[in-house]
Amino acid sequence: MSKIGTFLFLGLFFHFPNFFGSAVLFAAEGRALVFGRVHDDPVRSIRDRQEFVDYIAKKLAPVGITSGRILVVEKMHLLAQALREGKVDLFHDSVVPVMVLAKRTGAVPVLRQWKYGEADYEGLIVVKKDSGINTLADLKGKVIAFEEPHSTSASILPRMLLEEKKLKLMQINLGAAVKPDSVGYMYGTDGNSVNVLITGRADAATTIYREIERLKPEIRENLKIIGKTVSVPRQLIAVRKDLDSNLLKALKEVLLNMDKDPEGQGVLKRQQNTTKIDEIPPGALKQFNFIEKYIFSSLGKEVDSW
Amino acid sequence: MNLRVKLSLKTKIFLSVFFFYLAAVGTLTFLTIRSQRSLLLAQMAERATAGINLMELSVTGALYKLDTFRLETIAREAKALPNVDYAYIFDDKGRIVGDFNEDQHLLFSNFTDELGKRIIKSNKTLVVIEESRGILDISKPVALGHEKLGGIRLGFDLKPIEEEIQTVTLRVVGISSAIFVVGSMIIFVITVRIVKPIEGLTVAAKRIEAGDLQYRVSIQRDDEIGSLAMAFDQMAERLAQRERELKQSQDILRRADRLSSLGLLTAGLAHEIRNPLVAIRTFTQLLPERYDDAEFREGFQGLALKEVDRICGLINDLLSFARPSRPNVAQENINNVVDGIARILETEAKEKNVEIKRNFPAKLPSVWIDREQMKQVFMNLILNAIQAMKGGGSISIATRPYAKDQGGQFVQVEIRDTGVGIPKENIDHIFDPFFTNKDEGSGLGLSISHQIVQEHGGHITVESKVGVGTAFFINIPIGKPARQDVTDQASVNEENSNHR
Repeated sequence: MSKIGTFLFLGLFFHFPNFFGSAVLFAAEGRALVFGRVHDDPVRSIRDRQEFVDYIAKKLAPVGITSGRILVVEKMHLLAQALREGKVDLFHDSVVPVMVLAKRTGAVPVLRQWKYGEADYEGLIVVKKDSGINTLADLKGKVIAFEEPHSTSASILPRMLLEEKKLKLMQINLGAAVKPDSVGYMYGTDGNSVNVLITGRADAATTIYREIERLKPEIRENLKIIGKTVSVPRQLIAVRKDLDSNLLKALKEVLLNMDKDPEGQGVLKRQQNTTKIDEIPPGALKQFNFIEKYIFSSLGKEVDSW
Repeated sequence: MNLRVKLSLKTKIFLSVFFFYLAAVGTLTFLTIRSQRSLLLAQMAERATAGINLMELSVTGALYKLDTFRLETIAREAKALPNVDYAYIFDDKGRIVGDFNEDQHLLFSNFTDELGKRIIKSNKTLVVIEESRGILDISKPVALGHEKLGGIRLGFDLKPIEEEIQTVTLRVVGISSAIFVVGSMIIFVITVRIVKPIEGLTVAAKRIEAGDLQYRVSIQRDDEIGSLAMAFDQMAERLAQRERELKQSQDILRRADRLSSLGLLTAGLAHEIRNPLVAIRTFTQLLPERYDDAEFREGFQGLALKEVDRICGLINDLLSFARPSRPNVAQENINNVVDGIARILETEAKEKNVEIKRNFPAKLPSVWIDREQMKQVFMNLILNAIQAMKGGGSISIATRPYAKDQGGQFVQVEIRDTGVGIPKENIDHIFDPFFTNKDEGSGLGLSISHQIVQEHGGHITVESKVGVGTAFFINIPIGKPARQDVTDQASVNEENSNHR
């Protein structure tokens, strides 16, 4: 076994006890509320959310919650496993990851989180103003940069939009030629696709309004929006399927009232500048089904790698 | 046993300030070195803390995932930290999961040292300086959310710090020593500057105490010592003035005393002069009748010359005694001086039926005296003796060399009478001015005599027994007196006398 292999083995060997052992779910007289998160940076994930989870746990003390913990995993399937095993109680994410985990584990999206003060958002397809590309149809033979594959606004929704416009997508490597009847695409990282466009490695990029507004004015003014996806809830909060109904009820009550509590307002603000948490609009569920269907029918095994 | 060492004021001040300064410089040096050491260690601890905090940023995520490959990389990256001696990352169970060393032989083992066991249990950053190992050990627990994931432990070699401390110590000690040497010199100079005038004042006080009233400190300074010196000089000036006035008074008293003595002798002296004059007159009356008698003429001539010479000698002695003499300290044979006075007083003694006996050795060391002043002493003492023997008696005058047990060579003049003696209760007062047992007299004679002898560096003692007699012993030092004030004072007296 190679040295790296040894370390990987040892890493996993010690990782799993930590991974599962740390999530003490039930205790004799109380238990921790466990918040799940898929991310490759556990430090940031935990530090950004610990206060939020602590607040919820504190409010749920009457129903036996003694503390709040966060479990961070790098892959969605690991969170799915934890959800299935009842080792994670709730999580939040954008629509697509929530749909995937809901499909795989039976997790239930219960509330909408107004992340960055936005109830809903949509994905955008942008090009350079001087690119000669004016419509989505003009993207044939061109390259579009998505963000992470499971990104709702900067990957899945734009793909759905392009396919809705009957444009054929083909994944390419950087610099590879694109067939004239297809739209070549490549994946970037979170918030990075516009940079790929600006630096000339792609002809179009997916993004959202908030990202465009953060660009320098001279760059922003040189960009043009040629496509806009449907609007979806900004972020969803979901719970595992078998979460105790009393706990779920109490949880929802705490979350829905956070913006009415001064302390809760502060916590929300520091948690991705959230303004409030509310019920998912009834019409959104239909939309979710549509998106879920697209994910699992169109992307197939690609989803397994998320 | 008395171990006290007598130190001069200069030495005391210098040593006091010196030791205080030494203590101050020593303390400051010690504190500076300790402070520098603390500072350097604090700086190292600060750098170590910065390093471990920086490592924590990388370690936390890797430790959460327990990514040993990454942890090993991070531990090795710690080599970039200056003076780092070891770097370990350990998990929540205290197992080493990241090792600085290439061979990784400590991987997954636990710390075996006591500090390591303490570090694992600690929930805060620990900075421990292990002098014995020459290591600064810093450890920090790593936590994420509410979970302790493990920690980081770094060891920094203190050798560079110790070397720096040594350099700083040498520098501080060097500078302190230089400051100390310069400071000591300054202290010495200041001490000398403070004490020298005081020494000058001490010398002046001793000189004045020894009678040199013309001595002045003459220190020109604007400070307190200058004021003290000025006050001292003013005091000395006033003292000299008082002394001059006192001497004037003494001189007057001495002259009065001399005249008083002469007054007492007048009757006897008149008789002594009249008798030869009567004889001369008788012979002169008979001379025309017996002019041709050659035997008578020659006899008359011889007798007249003899008697006139005797009268002249007597008058000369009286004049010499009575007139103010020029001060003159000279080497004298004391026998001659005493004998001269005894001769003057012999007539008076005969009148009182007192015999004067002399016992003068042929060889007697000469003494440095003012002849006229000493005459007054002997005049007073012999006169007193004569007056003390109302019904007659004898006065024995003897001279002899005399050595005191405590040291000092003297010529002693003993004047012993067979008079009434002095009552015991009066013995202590006989030299007091104006003290007298006699019906007549000023009470100054003995006082003045005592003073004169003292001014010659001598002393008078007395033995007396009521009904038996009294003996005075006048002891005059042999050799030229060190003090010249006898002459000087006499000179002053003379000047004052002349002014009157």
